[in-house]
Amino acid sequence: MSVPVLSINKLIKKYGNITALDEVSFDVPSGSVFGLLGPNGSGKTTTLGIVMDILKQTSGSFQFSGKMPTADTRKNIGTLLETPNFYHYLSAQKNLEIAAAIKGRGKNDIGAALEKVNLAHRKDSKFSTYSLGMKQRLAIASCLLGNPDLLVFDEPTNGLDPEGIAEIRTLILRLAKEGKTIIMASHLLDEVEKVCTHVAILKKGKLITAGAVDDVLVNEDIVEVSAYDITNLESVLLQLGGHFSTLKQVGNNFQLFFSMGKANLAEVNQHCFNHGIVLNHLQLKKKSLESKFFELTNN
Amino acid sequence: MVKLLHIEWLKVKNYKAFWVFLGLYVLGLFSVNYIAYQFQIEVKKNVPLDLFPYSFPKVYQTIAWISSWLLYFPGMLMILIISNEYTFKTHRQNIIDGSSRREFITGKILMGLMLSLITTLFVTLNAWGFGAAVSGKFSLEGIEFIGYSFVQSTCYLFFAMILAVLLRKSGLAITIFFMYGLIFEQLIGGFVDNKILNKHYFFYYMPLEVTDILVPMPFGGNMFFKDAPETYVLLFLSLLYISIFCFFAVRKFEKEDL
Repeated sequence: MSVPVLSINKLIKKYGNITALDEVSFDVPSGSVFGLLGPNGSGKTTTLGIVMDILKQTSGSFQFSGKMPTADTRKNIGTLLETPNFYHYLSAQKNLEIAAAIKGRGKNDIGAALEKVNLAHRKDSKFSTYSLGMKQRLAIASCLLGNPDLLVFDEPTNGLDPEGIAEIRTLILRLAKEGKTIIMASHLLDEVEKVCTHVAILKKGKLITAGAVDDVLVNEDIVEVSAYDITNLESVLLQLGGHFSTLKQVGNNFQLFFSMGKANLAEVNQHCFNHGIVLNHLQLKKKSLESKFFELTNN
Repeated sequence: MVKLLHIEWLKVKNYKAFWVFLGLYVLGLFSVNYIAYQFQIEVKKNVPLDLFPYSFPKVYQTIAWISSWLLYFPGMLMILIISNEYTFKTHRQNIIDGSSRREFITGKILMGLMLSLITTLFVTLNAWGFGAAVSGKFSLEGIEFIGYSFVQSTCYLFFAMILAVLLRKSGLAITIFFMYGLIFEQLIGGFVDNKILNKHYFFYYMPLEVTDILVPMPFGGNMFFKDAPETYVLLFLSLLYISIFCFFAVRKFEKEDL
């Protein structure tokens, strides 16, 4: 297995009595789109802030590609942390010139970066005149300077309209296709589900779970059935065999949990009918990632 | 070093408020000296008293002293360029983009030195201009006051810097800068000297005052500061304070959450 792009080891961050991060460890595999998922205040930004040296950890360590981090490491990472931070009195172009100068690069790729986020036509406008969405897009353009192999996006779709959200999502997927590793913090499951290959879930500073999205956020098909003869229905359903994982009674309905794509409504209906039960309710429900997320974070 | 200055240059190059402020300061430097010069002419009409001598060699001291009253303005600029970073959170972004924390704060220290050099340059130009116009000749005698003036402005600017780094907010930092420099240093120094020590001892060694005595008023300086420490002691202490301000600014910026 290749060396993780970022390896975080027992990171602890305390603010007085409050523990913002509690022994958080995870690895970000090379080439992954890594979602850092958690409700507000769960420690996502704190984790990324420490990794970017703007916060000092109380204890613990982290490495980029197996090496101890330096300022030069950050020059080759495109990072958007928390909010777009730019000089209000300067234009987009001038702001990116500063970022490029810090990264030790020329001005050559500024135009292309602005083009990618559809800001080229406003490049000479002052940052203070930008809308929230434009500010966010400028921050993403800044991340793209120098074509880094690792990108860190903290809530990248914050403040964007639905069209903007879709654009950023497409951009992230395109960057991932180019082989870049992307770390994305988000409280939006939907976002993580749509673009991430890996996920780490944080809650109140603790790591709940981490791994490939398919392993962590297993999706299930739920078949909900009901009949007048509710007592016999249960025994009949149990005879359905090993197709489903769980049977749960919810009010007057029964829920059968199948792994994703495995539920066959016709088969369930036929089985019950063959055993003398006529269903008066038969419905396929997709278990939402959201309920899975709550399940994970509420334990 | 050059790279750090280049980055700082990019930040102020198109910052209109910075240049307007600096322009007004430079204009103010000339104006306040011109007022003192005219005042001196009026005084001379009535009594033969050299309050503000604008001829060589005294012109260096006169202009250095008069100009020192305006040091609060480059100080405010210094506070502004640092607190701007905190306000815009660009101090974070610079680090994220790949500056080391030390590089960032070193950039600010270099900016302080630049502002101090600019201040000294215009003080010198004023001294030469007024000196030549009044004396009808040119002389370098007494130019050591330009050197003292540079030390003084550096001390004021780095004091402004440490306030900005500690307080982050420009309004608060500027208020404290003015209040301390104009009122509280005198108040604390006077209190300690008069009520506790019963002699001039403590006040002379306070951070801004020590540089103020380096450039004493051109009239009656010997009377007001007759028990002041030797120049080399004042110089040494000024440099010590400058180093302390830099040390704590770097330390604070390197150690703490940004």
